[in-house]
Amino acid sequence: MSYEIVIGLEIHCELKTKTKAFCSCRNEFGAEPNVNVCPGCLGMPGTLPALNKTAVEYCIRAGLAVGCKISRYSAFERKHYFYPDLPNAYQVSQLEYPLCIGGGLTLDSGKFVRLNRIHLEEDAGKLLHGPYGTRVDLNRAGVPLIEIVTEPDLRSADEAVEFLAKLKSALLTTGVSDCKMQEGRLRCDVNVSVNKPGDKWGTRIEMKNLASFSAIKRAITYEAKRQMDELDKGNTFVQATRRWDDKDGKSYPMRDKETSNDYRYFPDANIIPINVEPSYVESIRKTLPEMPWELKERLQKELGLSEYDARTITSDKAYSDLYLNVLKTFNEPKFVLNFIMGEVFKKLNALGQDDIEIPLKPEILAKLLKLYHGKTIAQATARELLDEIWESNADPEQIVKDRNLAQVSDSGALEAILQKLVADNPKAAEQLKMGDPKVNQFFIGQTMKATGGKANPAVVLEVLNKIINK
Amino acid sequence: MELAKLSLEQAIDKLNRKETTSVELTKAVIAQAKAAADLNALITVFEESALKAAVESDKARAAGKPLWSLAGVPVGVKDCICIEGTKLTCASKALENYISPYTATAAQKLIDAGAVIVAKANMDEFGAGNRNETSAFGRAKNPVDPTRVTSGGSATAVAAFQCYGGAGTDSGGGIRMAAAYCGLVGLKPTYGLISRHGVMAYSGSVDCVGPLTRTVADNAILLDVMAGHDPLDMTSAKQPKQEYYKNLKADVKGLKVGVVNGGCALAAAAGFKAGGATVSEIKFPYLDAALGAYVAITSAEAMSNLNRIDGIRYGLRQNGSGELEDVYFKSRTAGFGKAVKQTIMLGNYVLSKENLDKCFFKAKKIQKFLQQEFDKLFKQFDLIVSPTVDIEAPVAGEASNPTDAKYAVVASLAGIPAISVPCCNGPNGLPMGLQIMANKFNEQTLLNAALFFERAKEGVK
Repeated sequence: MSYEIVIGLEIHCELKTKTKAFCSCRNEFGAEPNVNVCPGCLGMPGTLPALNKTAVEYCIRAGLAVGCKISRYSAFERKHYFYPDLPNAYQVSQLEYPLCIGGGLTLDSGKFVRLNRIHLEEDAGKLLHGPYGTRVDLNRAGVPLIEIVTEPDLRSADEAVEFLAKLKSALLTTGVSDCKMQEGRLRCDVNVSVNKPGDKWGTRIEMKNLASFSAIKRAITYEAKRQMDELDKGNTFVQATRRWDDKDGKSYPMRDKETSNDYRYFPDANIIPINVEPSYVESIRKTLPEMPWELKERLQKELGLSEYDARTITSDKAYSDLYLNVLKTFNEPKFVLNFIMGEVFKKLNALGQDDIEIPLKPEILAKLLKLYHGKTIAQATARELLDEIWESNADPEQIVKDRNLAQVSDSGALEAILQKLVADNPKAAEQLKMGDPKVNQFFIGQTMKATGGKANPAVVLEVLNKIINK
Repeated sequence: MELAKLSLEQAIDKLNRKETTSVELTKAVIAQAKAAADLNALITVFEESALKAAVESDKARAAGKPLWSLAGVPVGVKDCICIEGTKLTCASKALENYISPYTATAAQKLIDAGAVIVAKANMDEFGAGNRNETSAFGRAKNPVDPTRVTSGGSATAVAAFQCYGGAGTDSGGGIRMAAAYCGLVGLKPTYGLISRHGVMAYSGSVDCVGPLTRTVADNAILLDVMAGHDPLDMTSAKQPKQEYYKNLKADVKGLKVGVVNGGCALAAAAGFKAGGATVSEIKFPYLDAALGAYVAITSAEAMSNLNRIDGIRYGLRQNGSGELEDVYFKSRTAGFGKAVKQTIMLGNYVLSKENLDKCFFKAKKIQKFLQQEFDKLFKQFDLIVSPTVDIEAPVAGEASNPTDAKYAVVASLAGIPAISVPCCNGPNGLPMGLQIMANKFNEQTLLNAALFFERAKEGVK
């Protein structure tokens, strides 16, 4: 008998404020260990938090982008646990009075996935394991995070990944975070349960800190299957946190001690609650950029893109940014779209990243596409050049000129080649005369070979017909 | 000796009239500290750096440079207030060798005003207690009768002339009870009037820094220096700058004084009538409830604040087996004394899932209720008077009784200013304190009434 899978996500997203949430240390990734620290984020005696207003603004901004209601009153609590990466032995978070309530996102299927809340909290540091033992880097301690909590509305691993990709795209669009999963700036806790249709929800299992789309997909798939197998065997289990091992592709139980915390949440008296003025919220709302789903509609309406094309090109901010910026200097919407969704996507999939970064500048790509569109270069050349300029951003016009890569459309030059080919391949020429179109491809291929792929296929056919029909 | 006995106000005056020097004053108080070292008032004495600062101060004065209000005056601060590059022990073994990398705002204001910081004073370990018997470095004694307790080494130091005034902290009476036990003037200002940045927290929602002095005028002088908004403390109040000392006058004319009776409070408060105040007794049946709420809230906050003392980044570390949990367990077991451990246990109990609502949030409701009661009272009265403590300083080693603090904690929970001034003598001839409370930010009214009371008492002598 089949099961229904119920999934809820808790997404942690580091905000890209200049400074940390409660002190003036820099919020930057990749610095030498323990350089961006001060007595405050080291949890030294006597230090007090000073709330970063930009972090509050960014949290509200994220909330507005996904349709949350912004709380009029918001407050901070302490969540207690001991760990070396948590200097105060409590994390400042929001339990009772989060900044943003509700909201949600619509999947491609039309299904609306509800959010429970978005709240502001601080990140912990990082443990560094090495030959010298374990050390702690507190650069990240106190970096502002937003935690985005969904309702348990997701029903499959694919839905979860789609939701997350849409959320990521929305967050990137608002500019509050760079959402880099590889740097741990966007991570996800997944709650999975299974139940027979019509039954009550099953026991929830949580897996924390999943850091890639593939890990999330695999973890959900594995965990749901594991739970179904257990239930099929007649076993029951208790609500717990399991550790997902991405290398093994399995989830493992954790010790009770690690999962049965009473965090002893209570109000942080050092941080005065925030009274969020509606006028302030409106001032933030006014600065919200066009969200991906709005852009999608506009592209359909203004450029006549199909629903599929518009959805695909807006599925990541990197795609839509590239697309819109190429159009600025080369306004051929369909042509550019096809090239990006064909050639550029192929290249990105080959890289296989969660965090889409396109090193190629839009104006350089526009130059390349102009050459290709104007038939100055052949498709093969365009592909080769894309590879070449992808990171270097070298000027494609210059390369074409320097290396003489322009397509050979000169019928005189092609005639000589083709006459020789016809003479050397009498049998094929005979077939062509009989009207066998397959042989066309043979001659085009051979001409490409002779010209280093630069021959314009249309011109080749034209010249070939002339020779044969003489 | 005589030099050390000057009031802070007199010391400033003598310095200004060039009748003494900062070096002389500093040497005088350090001599007192050495002579009465057995009182155990001080944890760290900055003999060298204090004398150096005194020399600099004298040089500046001789050169005719503009001088700030406390130029050259030796003061002490409680050892939970950070001063860069010096030990901050909080009277705990856990921080026995901890050096603070920065200076607290309140201490910096004293330094900026020209004060010579001579010492860090003994205290209850991390503030857990109200008799200064829980210090890892031994109890501070009461200079009036060394067999008896004080409520803080700062008070002992000021009363024993080891400094001209001190910066203490008061969560539930720390400054005021110490003042009462030692015959001093101690002010817990309005919550937020003096920055808490750089003060190791006991209970952040009630902790206050305040002056401990031998006279009311001295108290006003130190308050002038330490009060003020600080962006590093979100709970710091944005209030217009006051000049408490300049505006100080012994005046209670037309004030309405309500008295919560106990000890000699009613008799003492009657003295205000002579100044043109009206005095009436009020019923205030909330002392016990307030005490319970205070214990619940502060133990919860203290537990939370003390969790950072984990032996990982600083402080006493005992590795044990080397396993992380053992490091925590061994370090904290060895670092904390019994009273701190009890506070932590209680705090964890209060905040546990089962008790959060019935202990912690109930206590917060009581606090809210008290605040509303005081709001009502201050519509009727300008000042509320009570005993600071209704007993004399207890004999050291006696079982401590939390109800000692019942008069003190109400002002703490309400966030209102309260001052303790020497009042009558108790059955054993030991000093007792009168607590005067006012509405928020009415420190001037409070100090003026305290000055009136001080003068009236002197007149009686």
